[in-house]
Amino acid sequence: MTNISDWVQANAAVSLFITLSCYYLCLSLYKRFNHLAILQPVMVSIIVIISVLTFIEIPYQTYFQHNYPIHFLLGPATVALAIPLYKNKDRIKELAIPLCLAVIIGGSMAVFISILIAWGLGASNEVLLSLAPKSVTTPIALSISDSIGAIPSLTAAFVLITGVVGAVFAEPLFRLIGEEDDGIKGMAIGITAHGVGTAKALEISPQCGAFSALSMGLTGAYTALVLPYAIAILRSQNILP
Amino acid sequence: MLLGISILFFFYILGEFVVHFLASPIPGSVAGMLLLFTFLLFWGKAPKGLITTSENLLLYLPLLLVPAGVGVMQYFELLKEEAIAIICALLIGTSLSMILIALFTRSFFKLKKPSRVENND
Repeated sequence: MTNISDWVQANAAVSLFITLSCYYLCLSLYKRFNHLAILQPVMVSIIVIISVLTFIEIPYQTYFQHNYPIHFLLGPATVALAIPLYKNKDRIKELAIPLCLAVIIGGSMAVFISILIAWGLGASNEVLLSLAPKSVTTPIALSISDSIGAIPSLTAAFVLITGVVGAVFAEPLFRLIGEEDDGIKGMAIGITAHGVGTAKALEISPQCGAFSALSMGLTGAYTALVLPYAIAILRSQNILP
Repeated sequence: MLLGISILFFFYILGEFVVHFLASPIPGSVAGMLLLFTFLLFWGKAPKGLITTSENLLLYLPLLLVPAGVGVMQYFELLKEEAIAIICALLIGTSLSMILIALFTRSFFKLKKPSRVENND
């Protein structure tokens, strides 16, 4: 096994191939099963790749170094999120007040409730900080996590699971509270369950999907603007180390 | 394509620069996104090349998250130790937030123009 491991570690192309092929296969599987939320392709490919790396004994550092070209594109891709926001500028203007209120109050609640639960159950500071951006779209969550001194990889896992939980439970929860308006459903999904939830919202209806995508983008921007300052204030008051 | 990717990199760098210069804890890429959004609002139109490049790049956004996500393999011990807190935060926290946000938004929409929402799409 070590021979294979040594050889792979000297060939960046192999690590890149593992990422590309695993993601492709998981994406095909997800499509084959009609976009079943629990088969969320990023989450499943992470699990598959971890198994492969463990099996051929490749340390994560090596894998990440080899895959840096893919990771690096996250920066410009996050900037590109401005385009879908810009395309919806008329809708944002039209619904500015309810959207902003929902995003500000909802986005804060999403952060607060989860942290409170984890804190009450004795989670460590690392985990609490990494949980904070969990309702935000993954690329933005990763950079928030990095800038508040949390662990981006943990955040990535939490964000993905949050999205899957949101997508799976959205419809039963809305039935429970008797919510029938697709606009409101979309906002609640977009604010709590980001992109993974938005995929689900699009299945409910195009209107639900549009509201979800919109709230997702605004929640990402809002959380990225406010959370780092909130953490900095908590740190300056010695509430957080 | 080249114009689009250049614009994206320009705003990415600009975002990083502004954040660094203002010593702000806001992530540079998000600052770049907001700067580009503001710029487009003032400019009034988006170059076609920028739209196609961005939409193509965003098509692969999920793939770009994979290398960072695999890093969770380094933290299995931590996850195991705090499993209960994490599972409760993710399951109950997410469900509870979703219900509360829906209820809150509903009460707000009832006060304000509920008809507006129906017309979209």
